[in-house]
Amino acid sequence: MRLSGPKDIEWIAAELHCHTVHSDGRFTVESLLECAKRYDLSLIALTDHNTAAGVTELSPALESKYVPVIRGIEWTAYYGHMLVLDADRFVDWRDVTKDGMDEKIREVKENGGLVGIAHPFSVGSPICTGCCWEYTVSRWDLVDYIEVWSVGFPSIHRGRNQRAVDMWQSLLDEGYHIAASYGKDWHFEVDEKEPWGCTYIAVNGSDSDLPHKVKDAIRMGRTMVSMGPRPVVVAHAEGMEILPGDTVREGSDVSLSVMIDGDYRSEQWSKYGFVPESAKVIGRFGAVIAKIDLDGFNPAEIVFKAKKGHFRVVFSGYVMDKDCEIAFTSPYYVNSSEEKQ
Amino acid sequence: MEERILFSSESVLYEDSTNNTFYYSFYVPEGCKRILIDFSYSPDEMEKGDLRKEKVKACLNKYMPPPYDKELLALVWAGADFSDFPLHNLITVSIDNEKGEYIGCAHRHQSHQVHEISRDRASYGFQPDPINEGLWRIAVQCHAVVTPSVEVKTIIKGEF
Repeated sequence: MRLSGPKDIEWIAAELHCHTVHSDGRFTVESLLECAKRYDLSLIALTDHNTAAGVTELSPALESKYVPVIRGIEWTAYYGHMLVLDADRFVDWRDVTKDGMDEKIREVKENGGLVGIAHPFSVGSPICTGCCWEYTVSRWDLVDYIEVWSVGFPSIHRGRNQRAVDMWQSLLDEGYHIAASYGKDWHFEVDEKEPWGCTYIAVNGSDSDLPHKVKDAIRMGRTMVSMGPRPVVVAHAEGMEILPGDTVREGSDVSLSVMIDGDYRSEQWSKYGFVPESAKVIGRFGAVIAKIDLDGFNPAEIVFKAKKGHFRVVFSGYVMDKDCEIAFTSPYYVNSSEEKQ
Repeated sequence: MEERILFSSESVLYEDSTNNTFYYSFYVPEGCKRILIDFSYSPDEMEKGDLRKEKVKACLNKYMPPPYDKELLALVWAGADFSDFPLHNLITVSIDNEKGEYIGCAHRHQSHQVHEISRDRASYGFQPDPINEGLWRIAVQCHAVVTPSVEVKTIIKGEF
């Protein structure tokens, strides 16, 4: 059975965190792009540590042969790693202090870049230098996304991932609008004996100019995080079809048709034995607003009243015989009726 | 092709140099066609032993607190032997040209690195640059000094 979402919207699979020999990866630029195509990804972000030199190797011919690329860099600073995508000009992070990241983020945003916090609860220095996010940030409103899941089997290897999700949830509860992403933190082709994930991103229209469409989509919060399969959520409220990142009024009737797409990119993930079991709507402070059991990859309907704050859809089930989360959407936001939307 | 040393430096950094950046300026004369950077530090990693194990344990305890990593912490508290867990120094160099434009960085665990920058080509991590006369800058970034001290050598040559 199929569910179709809004016309002209396609949810594509992307990897937003990639390294090459220009930093500490083993991929050449071309082998990274080739690998991405083989993994049925539609787009990657090239985010080498502290350099954008790999970008000089990109060409329309190369991207056309393999996958389109968002130009980026991973600021690999002393107290955190930050993904900066498609800024109009170079912003120097080398002088950033532990309390000075707000100013740097503002500078990136002024130059049109996207800001994503990478693996915020990875083990830090000296095992992995600067890998744990320890910068003081007060302008979370300027942060576009947080890499809440990363590397292999993120919902089972909960150390870094659950803490990142909790941090993200707290920021959402405070009223910030921040999208979620998954990051392979791809340095070389891994023998994936367990599921690694991807970020699904909603883009409008044709494949033309995909990097800019993806950039806009991330900025609008139109992402879903998955351990492999693509979730489908067709949401309606106030007579409109809505996407993650959209805002509805408190008290609105929200109807969701939800399923895990059993076909899309299935060569990449079906070997891990995904069995979808349920979909939950999670609101502020992690409250379960609604829940429905899933019959495998078939669709189900959820209807509920929007409560102030935000809600997101979380799919759970069995993967490699382990009971775990499979995927989730970025939030839909809910304003109280007197607030301006 | 004539080769001249444009800058050389030998210094000793200590554990408290970690998370500090040291900037050096060097003059690139007119007519320079290629810049060669030979950067090295020694030792590369912390010797195996109790001190290293303690550092690894302290790091895991700091960054992986309960309740999320009970299994890993249980290993730590059960006295799991982390003696094979390596701890490396990590010091990187980045370069700015005479206009203050960022040319790149070689961020990787490699205690001896040789890089070149010229109009037409550059080593991995760096972008080609016309190499104009002026005051260039090298930034030495100490991401981790885990050994009691580390000797850092930088030689920058120009090819004319």
